[in-house]
Amino acid sequence: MDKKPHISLNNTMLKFKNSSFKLFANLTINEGEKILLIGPNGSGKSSLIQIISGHIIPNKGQILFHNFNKTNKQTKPLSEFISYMPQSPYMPLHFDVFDFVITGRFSNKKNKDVFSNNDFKQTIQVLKKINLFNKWNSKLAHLSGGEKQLVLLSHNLIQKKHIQLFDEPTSNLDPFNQSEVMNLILNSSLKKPVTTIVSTHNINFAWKFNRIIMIKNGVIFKDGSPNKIINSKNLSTLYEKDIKVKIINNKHFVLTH
Amino acid sequence: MSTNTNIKEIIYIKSTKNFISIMFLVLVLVFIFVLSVLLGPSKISPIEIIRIITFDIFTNKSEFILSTAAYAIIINLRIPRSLLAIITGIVLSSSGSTYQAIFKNPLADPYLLGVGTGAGLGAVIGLTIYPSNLPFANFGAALFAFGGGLLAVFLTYNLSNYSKNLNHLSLILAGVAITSIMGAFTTLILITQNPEIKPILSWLLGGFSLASWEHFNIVFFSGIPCVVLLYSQHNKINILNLDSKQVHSLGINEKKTITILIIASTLSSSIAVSQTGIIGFVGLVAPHISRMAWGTNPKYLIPQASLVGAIILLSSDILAKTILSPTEIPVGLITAFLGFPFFVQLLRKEGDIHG
Repeated sequence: MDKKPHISLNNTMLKFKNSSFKLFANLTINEGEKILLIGPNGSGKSSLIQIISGHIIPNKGQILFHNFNKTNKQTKPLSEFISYMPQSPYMPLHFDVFDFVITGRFSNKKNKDVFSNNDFKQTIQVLKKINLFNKWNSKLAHLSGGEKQLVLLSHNLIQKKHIQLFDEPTSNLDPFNQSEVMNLILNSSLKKPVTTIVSTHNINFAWKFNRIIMIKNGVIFKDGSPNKIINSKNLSTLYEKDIKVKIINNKHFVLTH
Repeated sequence: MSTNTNIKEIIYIKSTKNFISIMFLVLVLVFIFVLSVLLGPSKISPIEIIRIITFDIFTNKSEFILSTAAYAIIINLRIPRSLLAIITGIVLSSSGSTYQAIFKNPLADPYLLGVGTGAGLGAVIGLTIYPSNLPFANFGAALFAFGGGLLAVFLTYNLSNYSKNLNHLSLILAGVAITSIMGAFTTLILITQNPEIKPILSWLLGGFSLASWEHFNIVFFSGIPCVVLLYSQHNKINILNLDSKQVHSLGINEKKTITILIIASTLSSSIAVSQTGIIGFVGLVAPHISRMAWGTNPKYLIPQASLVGAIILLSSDILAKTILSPTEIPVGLITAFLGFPFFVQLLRKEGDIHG
């Protein structure tokens, strides 16, 4: 893989209202990297993702996206190359599955007025991929928590963006669906290299990614490939718990008490 | 099944079926319109009505002096009244569907958000400063109503944001609070400033009994541009139903879009209130009925809801003028009677439909 810098966060600092907590990040992300973001609750994973997605403007420092400038030097809006799946967002429960998922096509369209047959086709394909096509006509209110999560996921997959951000995409799912969702996120059908950043509490997926970033108290604690940094010592320091890591077939398994 | 057969099936359900529903609704509306022109306290035979209308369209009126009572009743009372009910239904329902998306709340409508009472207060202030016997008083009332409606929706929105856990109830509670305050001020002004309280009170209850072409023109020419604007934004309105973070990711400037949409919805519904009084529940019920019957396809929701709203309001007006004929009931009472069970049902199903 050629190492083209894709996103750089230069001395980014974010302060929070009514709190002394600060988030610092100095980070370069290359095109096509699959990054897993781990860290305890409240460590700043979501905020870091939202700085990249443009939902939070940092107080200091800057974030640069390379190779996304149009020829006339005008920068493209972020919505044209970033998709972002928030953690447990509000969902309009009176929508049916199909009408909800197809809204993901909105930012891809030149003509914002009508959803074309191609949008219909893509929606059907993504629903088949997540095995929810038989429920395309059901109201979101009538889905289980896990099914809603899958619908949310397909809303993001259908956007087919160059940079894809997922904030705890597996939080409502059973272990088998979690693995399924991670595979859907990582095995993109796009021809172009897709940069993926996923935050999670499930460290057992680390081996599927090529870069792990550990965040603790708002600073990047460790950053590297899973084989180098997923070990008992790092994880025990990260979570301040006694954690053991077993490696079976090059996959890391985390044991806790 | 291959994707292609699925597409055909889904396009049929999402588009063709919806298109047919629009045709059906238009036919029903035309039928009820004819009924509404036929029915009224004074008996005029259908044949005479046809004669009057064709006479009005096809002849040069200045050559004939048309002073028959029947002519005046049909052309200057019943037709503008029915058209006013239709345009008011359209305006309230399209604003209702828009508010429901903007506030991410399927219970929002102009009445429950306080826009109705706010516009009513504005109109009463307008009529107190500039009494209704002066020329252009209707325009003045309309302008003041817009101010009152905009103030009310602004206050409701900010009051509901006060609540830390923003949910469906906080918006409705805020709407109730603003409605009561606006209503109290209205009563206060009426009691202290206006010696002729009765006509204004009956206007406040909502109704088309005083409808004239002037009322219709004011609502039509303010309402239609707003409804067209809302319809032109239907895809954005649809996206606004999603979580704010997703709206942002999809490339919509939520604040700017919402501001434009609130102004258009509030302008059209406030001015309708200034000419017809406060008519509740139509803006809530119509979008729900169309969603229940035909789903959430954004391209068709506003037209379907508008037609359903027009049908409900025109039918309610027929009831209002015929049930206790020759006495008229304010149409606002009829819609309240119709809307109440619907609202209770929605609340009962809150856990089901709204999580």
